[in-house]
Amino acid sequence: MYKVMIIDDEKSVRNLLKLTVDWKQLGLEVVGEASSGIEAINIIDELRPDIAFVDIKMPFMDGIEFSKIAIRQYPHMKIIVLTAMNEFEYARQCVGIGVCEYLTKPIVRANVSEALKKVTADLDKSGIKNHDDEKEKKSDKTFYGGMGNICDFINENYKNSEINLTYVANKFGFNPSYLSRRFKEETGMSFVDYVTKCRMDKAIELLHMKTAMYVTAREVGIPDPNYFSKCFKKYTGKAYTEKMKEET
Amino acid sequence: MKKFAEKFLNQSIKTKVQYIFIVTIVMCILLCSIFFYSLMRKQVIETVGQKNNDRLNSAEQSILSVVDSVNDMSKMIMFNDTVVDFISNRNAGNTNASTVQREIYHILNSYSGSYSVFIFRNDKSYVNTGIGIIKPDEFIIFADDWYGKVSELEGGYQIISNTKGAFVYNTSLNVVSFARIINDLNTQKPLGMLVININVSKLVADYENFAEEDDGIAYLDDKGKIIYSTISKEDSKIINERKSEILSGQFSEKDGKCIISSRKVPNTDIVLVCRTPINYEAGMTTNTIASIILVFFIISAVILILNTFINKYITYPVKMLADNMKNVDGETPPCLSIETNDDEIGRLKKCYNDMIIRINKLIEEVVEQEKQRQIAEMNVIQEQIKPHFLYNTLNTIGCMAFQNTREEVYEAVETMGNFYRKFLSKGSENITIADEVDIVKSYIKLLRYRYDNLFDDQYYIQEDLKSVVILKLILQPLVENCIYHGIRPKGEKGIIKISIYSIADKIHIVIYDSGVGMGQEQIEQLLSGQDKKSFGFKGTIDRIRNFYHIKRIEDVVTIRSVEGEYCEIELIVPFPENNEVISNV
Repeated sequence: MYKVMIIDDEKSVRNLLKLTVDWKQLGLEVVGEASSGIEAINIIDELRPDIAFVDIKMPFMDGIEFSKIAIRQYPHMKIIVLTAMNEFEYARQCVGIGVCEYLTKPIVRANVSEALKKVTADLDKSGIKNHDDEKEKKSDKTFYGGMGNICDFINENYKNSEINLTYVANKFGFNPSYLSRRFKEETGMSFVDYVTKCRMDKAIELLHMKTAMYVTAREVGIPDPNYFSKCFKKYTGKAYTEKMKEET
Repeated sequence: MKKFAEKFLNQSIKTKVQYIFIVTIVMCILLCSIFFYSLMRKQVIETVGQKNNDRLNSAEQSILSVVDSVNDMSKMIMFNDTVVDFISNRNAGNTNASTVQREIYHILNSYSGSYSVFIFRNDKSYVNTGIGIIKPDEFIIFADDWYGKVSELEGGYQIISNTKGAFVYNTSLNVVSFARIINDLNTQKPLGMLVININVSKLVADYENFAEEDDGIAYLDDKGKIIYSTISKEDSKIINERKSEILSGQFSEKDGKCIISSRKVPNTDIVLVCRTPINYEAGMTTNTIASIILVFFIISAVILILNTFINKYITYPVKMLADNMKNVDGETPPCLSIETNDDEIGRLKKCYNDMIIRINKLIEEVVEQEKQRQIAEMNVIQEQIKPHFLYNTLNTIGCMAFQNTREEVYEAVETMGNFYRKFLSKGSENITIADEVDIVKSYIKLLRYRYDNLFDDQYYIQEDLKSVVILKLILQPLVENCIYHGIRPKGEKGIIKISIYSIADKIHIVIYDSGVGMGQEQIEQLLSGQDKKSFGFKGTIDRIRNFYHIKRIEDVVTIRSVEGEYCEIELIVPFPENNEVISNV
């Protein structure tokens, strides 16, 4: 069972994909979706998909940029681009960065199934599964100095929207699972929660300064204001705009 | 003839020049030949005329010298005592005829030639010498023609060519008579007449010594009778035909073959006629021929040199130019690289090259413009059909089919149909404001299906403007910009307000959105077209400016914005000229 993630700014497209494709029959499972590249980067570590559907034209971070980051972080992940842009230039760029399939909208189910079959066959051949923990290959590497360094790095770099577990793990030479486990052990907090906390604390700070939401979102490394708003609400229990009104 | 001229004119310049030179050479040689021939002919005729004259002179001189000597002789005879005695009829006993004859013979001996001498006394008795004479006709001799005529001369002599049968010779001797009256020395009364008959052969002899073949001379008496002639009978005809002119001694006639002229010998009644044939070959001397050939050569050489010069400096460069210019058939004609001097040909080449460079540049420009135009057209078509929008909307409706009610799905399909019908509207450029707003409404409705609850829309349309016609599709691209670049990045629910009203004679279209807005710098970039993301905006503004012929962009659009708050775009367009109203398509 391979895991599939759908990244598209239109809910209807995400829904349509989920509804029209017989995932089970293909031996697949949709584990998550994101309405922007920003959101996808933030949740990808949790989902650890084997296959990702990506739209090209998305605000804040387009599909090509996202694919570059995703392939860098997860070299074995199969990316299927699904876009209304039937332009050679985009297709060329996609092939250049290692995208497996290039599908065009409107969605044609047969094409989607065919692409998925091809991709699963490739995955079968390589025999690597992202969600198989690579049993902490680097765990024998003695970990010195605690998580302080990593917290500092996050505190300094939360503005970078690329930041996530894999990014930091790669940066410091850890296995992401190992880092995740050790981070929780040491700080009592999951890695993702820590990053979110950093960002939200800063956001609240900016809110006090009457900063517009979209500006704040950019400032804290979540330039997608919709996702930011989601995170903010989850963190504070109240919407940003609502809270802003209360302040005045 | 016309065809020939046309054919000639269509020949290459080189051939034409060659033809002209050939014709010139032929003409020159022909004219020279004619000139030389006539000159030569004139000269030959002059020479022959001169020669004829010379011959007349010499014939005349020989006659005169004979006459002179006869005159001398006559004086000797006249003054001889015996003769005087005889004529004056004295000493009749001593002076018989034979004595006188002897005396005369004695005198004659000192002169060459054969002469016959008669001495007539007034009593018609006479003494004579000479052979072959039968008898003088006294009747004729003492007639007025003879004696009368001579006596008028008062002692002078008279040469009488026409003896009128006064003397009858037993041989066919042809004679001319020399006659003079013998006067008494004391009384000066005529005693008798002395006649010396001169043999014509004696007159002719001196001349004949230097006469040439073909030449002819005739001696005529006062009546035009031929005394002696070496002229052929054929040629003599003219003497009878033109007798009076010839006898006047002024005759001179030339025809193609010969010159005939006459002269009257002074103190005689003899008329000379001389004929000299004209021999043109004689004029063709080696020198003349050599000079003619030389002139021909010089003319030919000059023409050849001229030809070479023209060929080298005119014909050949022109041909090279023409040959090189043939390459113009190609798409981008090359410049000429042939060597030329700084003359007209050189300037021609320079002009041609400048022209070619300019043409090539223009062609390039045209090709480039055509490319740009095609790209622009493609963009317009893309913009008009909006394929991405269509594909995305289809997906949305597809999704609705799974999740929503049939009525909702149908409404979405209806909206899309309505949108595209008005949007495309048979390619017409104009649309009523009502329809233009309808397009936006449909568009926004379709977008709302895709991004739920993203924004609200409000419309404030001046009622009487709804049927006014404006340029089509100026509202939708701007609304699209508002949504994608204004409201969506803000992440909050926004609002779009569209107001259309008229102030003075202008229509104002205001599109307001509560999006992220723009800074001044961004506004300027947008208006100058540097902002690549907003192709739709700049394209629309340019379309409006082209359609309404408005030069300044500031006269068409004003952008007011506060960053993070709102953006307001105001379009100002004129009313249609004839207030055109079109029905819904």
